[in-house]
Amino acid sequence: MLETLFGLANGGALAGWVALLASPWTPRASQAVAGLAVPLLLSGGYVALILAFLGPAEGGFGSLAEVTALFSVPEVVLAGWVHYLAFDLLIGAMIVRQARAEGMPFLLVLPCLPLTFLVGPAGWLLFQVVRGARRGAGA
Amino acid sequence: MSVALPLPARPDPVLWAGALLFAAMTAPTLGAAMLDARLHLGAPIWIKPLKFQLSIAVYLGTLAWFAAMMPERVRAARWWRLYGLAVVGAFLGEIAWIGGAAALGTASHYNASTPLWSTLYTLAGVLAVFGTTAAGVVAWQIGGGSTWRRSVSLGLWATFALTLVVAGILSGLGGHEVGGDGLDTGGGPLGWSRDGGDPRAAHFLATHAMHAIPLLGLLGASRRGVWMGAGLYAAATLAVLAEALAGRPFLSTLL
Repeated sequence: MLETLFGLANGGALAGWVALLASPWTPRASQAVAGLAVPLLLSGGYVALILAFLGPAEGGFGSLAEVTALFSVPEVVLAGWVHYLAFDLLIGAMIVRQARAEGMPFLLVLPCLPLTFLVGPAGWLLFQVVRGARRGAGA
Repeated sequence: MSVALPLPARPDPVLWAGALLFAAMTAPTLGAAMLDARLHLGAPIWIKPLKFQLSIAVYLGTLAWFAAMMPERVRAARWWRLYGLAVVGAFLGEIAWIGGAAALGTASHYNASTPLWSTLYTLAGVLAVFGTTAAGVVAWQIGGGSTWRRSVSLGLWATFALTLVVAGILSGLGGHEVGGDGLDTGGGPLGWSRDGGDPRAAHFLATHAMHAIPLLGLLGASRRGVWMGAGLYAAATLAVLAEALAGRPFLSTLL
């Protein structure tokens, strides 16, 4: 059951990232998929998981030990994973939107996307560095 | 033949937004119901939050359409906007309490296990009463006029008064069942007890007066017919309440 949900969530997120890769040709559809539809599904699933499993779980948010205890419950780990998938994808969609609005070539966005997918904050950081560099260069 | 509903063009925006919000909540709650194997009083633990979300969505959605029949000066008034927001807010508090208790695997209504839960139950009672006043306020502002308008305001008055009476008695019982095992395993679409009296059946009828009585007006009943129908409906609701308080399952006195 949990593995099936894990697979479904991963598949959905991956579809969102593929949509972002196609965004130079399909900007509106890409945003509809990666910036709205997939995050809606993932967020709905996340809330369902939290409702069902956070209450009875051991641990809490008060200390690292408590958070570690919380993340020893597979259902809660799955919820946390879906949270990553949803928010990383939303950041990816935001990067694509912002780059497009600022006229940044997609080739410069391209390295930021897989980085955001795999190690979220690193990808967003790279995007900010690229933006800053372009501004410095007077682009 | 086309039948045009004698309803206004647009629902009240605040109450309608509230109805949509509660309808949207059912999606993740349904997900939780499918994932969560825990039981409360023998029933899947998310059934109760689901039933409340659906009921509140129907209540607010119906009120939103009827509220649009109020005079323009009321609908545009600042007090009405603030009151509508407060009503939606009261129900949000209610569902946070019911959903929170489900998430924690405990009871919401009748939960006196700790001072905190006891206080929350009292507070939730106040919020529920406040939410029910909305039916009375809309009824008051619609008033009379055509038979259709009278059927709507009568239905809303009946929902207001009957719900306060039935829910007030229900909350004073210490549990939702009179006699029987106290479990929530009655079956049927709404889970009413089959081994004892269940005043929730009367709560259901009381709150749906706002649908049943306007239906008479919609079907073209005369003014006298609407009044008689409203009286009969109220009597039937009180009879169902009395049956439950006597410890008999819903309709078992007749069948």
